[in-house]
Amino acid sequence: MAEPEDIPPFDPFILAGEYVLGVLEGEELSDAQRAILADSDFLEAVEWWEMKLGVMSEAAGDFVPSPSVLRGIMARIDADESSGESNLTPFIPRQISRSSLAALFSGTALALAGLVFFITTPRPTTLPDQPTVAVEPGEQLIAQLEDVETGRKLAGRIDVDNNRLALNILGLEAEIGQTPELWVIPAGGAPVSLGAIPQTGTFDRQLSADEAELLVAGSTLAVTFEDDTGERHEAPTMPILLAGTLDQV
Amino acid sequence: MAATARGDRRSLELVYEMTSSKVFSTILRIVRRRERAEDILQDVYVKVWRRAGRFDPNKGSPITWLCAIARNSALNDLRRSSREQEIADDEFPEVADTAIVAADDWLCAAEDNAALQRCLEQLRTDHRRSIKMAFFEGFSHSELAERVNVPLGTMKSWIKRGLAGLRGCLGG
Repeated sequence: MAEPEDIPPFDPFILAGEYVLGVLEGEELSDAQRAILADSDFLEAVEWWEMKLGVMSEAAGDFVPSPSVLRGIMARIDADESSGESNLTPFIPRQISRSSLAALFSGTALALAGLVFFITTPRPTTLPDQPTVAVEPGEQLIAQLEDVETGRKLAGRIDVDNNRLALNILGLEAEIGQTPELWVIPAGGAPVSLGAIPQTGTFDRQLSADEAELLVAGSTLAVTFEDDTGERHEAPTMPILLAGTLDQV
Repeated sequence: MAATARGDRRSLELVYEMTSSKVFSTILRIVRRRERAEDILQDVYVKVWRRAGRFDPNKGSPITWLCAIARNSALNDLRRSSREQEIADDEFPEVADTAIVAADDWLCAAEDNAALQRCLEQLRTDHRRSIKMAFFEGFSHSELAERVNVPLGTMKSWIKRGLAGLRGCLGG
């Protein structure tokens, strides 16, 4: 018997295993997603479990996908290369031919392709000293991040229909040579940079298909200060300035 | 994988030929709809094309990395839509109750598989079965508890104890 007689009531290493296994829900899942950003030891534990448990995947079976899948992959790579913007490639249904690629870049086609994303609001954005973003009609997610001690605040909204990210930021003044950077932690995944954001004021930009895929209810948004290199960073630098989950409106 | 990171399309096709059935099966077990699984599969290999440079062979095999991306994508898909059951349980080879038998065509390191297999066999049957059901089918704590018909607290304890056992056995 390999199992210990007693296990501590809370063990971050075991929580990392539960996260990788995919069994966590609700607050436990949110806690784990935040810990990935805030705790490098936890992130290492997640990677350890992914590699250890991952070898089981080979026993999942040998179901063969249809030939159209590989054609769809190559069509999307074609679209990447022709547009010159690899991170802006939309999802392309397998049944659609290369000749239909241009149409897929339209908002209507994206919606038809099932690219509908939802964003959340942990708390209403009604306090007078809170940065807020207007809630528009249609499907959206709104997040409100706040650090009471420092006064740093960020309100964010994702316009689902138009794949746009809107932020209202307060108090993220960085030292010279640094900039605030926004991160998303998808369920079961590592932090992914959404790029630099302003230190204060409003910000609005288009989301790529990959970014929109990550920004779903239950994902965690976070902000760190990073070196202002003009490029997105691979991993966040501690400490986490703000963090909070995205919830569906 | 290194050639894929350099933009060699033929190498991506080779990776796809070698791994797609395992990756597809990983996704299909979780989302249970073939069309949905193929859409996710397409997305996984586009991600691989874009992110191949991030693959670190010191951390694990390519198939393990690929399947981790696939599992995460399938779980994300499951969390933003309802669970469906287009494909019945009995269409999948049983892995929840039985041991994972090492095969000649394992793409990951055989010793890693053997170590995990040995450690899983040392777990209590309930704990091992619950961990495998979570891994292969993407069940959450509450879904597992309902499926196995035990209280949620019991299921959580089984999973924690099973993982603690694996951690000790695998040297984490």
